[in-house]
Amino acid sequence: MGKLTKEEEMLLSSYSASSSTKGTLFFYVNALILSLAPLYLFYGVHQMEVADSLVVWTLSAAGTAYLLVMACKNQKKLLKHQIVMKRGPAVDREINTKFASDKKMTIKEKEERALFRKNEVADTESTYLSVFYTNTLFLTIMLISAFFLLANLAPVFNLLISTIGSAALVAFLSTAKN
Amino acid sequence: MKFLLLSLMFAAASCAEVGTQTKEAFILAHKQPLSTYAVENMDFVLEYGLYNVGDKPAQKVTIDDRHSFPTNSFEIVKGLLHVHYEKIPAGGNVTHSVVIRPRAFGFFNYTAAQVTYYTDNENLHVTLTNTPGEGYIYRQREYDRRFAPKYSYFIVFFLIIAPTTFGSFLLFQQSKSRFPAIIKKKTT
Repeated sequence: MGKLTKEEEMLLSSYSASSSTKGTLFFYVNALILSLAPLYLFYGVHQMEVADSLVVWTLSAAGTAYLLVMACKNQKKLLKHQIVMKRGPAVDREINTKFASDKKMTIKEKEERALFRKNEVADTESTYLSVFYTNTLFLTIMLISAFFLLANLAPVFNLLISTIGSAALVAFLSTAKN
Repeated sequence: MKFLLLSLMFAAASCAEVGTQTKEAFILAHKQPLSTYAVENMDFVLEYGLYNVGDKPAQKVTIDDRHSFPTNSFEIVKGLLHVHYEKIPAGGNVTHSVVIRPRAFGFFNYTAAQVTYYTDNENLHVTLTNTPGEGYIYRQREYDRRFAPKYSYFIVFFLIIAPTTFGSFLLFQQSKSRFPAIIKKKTT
């Protein structure tokens, strides 16, 4: 076995379940926003003071962000396969019309390109869908627990349970095997 | 021993009775804030109450509370801090209220108001109301933060989370519509 060429490596990485760098960056940015936004609500609505609760806030933000990134990644793995199956025919058609006039290209080459494109499309779509799904689920659980179920608890415990707890629940749900 | 105790109790009771029995006018005065929170630049309502528990009318009754609220730290919105009543009949009562507006925030010591009255034309009595004591005057911003409606916080919260959440949904929809699902024709 010789060393893999650059193209081969790229092809391999595109088929793997792990997401692209751009997608991962999006996950991190999203998780950061989603972990910080509830703190603003707790500052405003539950009257937590910035100086008094820095430690708790850091704890909550770090825990929530970590769990949400995990949830997004897991969810993406689940969704990517389904999306490849759904978008397959349409991507095939796109590639065929695009290279219809290109006589030099072999059928094998076209198929390869179609496969590569399918993966690309599935990768971006699953990234967006997983972010949307994880966000809505997390926000719903978090808001219900913070302002209805645990509304009368001391703000510190309310914050920790409702943010980290709901993030953990979302992360747990994302680990389902289909 | 028991007898001693009993006799002491009787003596105390009779003394008390003698002490509280008043033939002349006798005014009890109170001063209390009606507003729950004092806030800078917001109205603060105070109430003074006078009760004549004596058997005769009190004459030339005045309440003077000008020294409690210096005009450099309080603005008088409505009512007088120095009032005069010609006569309060036996068993009668008077309430008087004043609306003031604190100019600054911080701790403030609410002191007693002075009440003077004549039992008859010569005997001047000077008495004080109770002191509401030290109270905190809220800063306007603090008060708003605690008691103002919280809708704005929720709106800002949704604006913060909207770009990633709904943005990703829109991008997904866009991509989905670019590659519509093709239903394979059944070949028979």
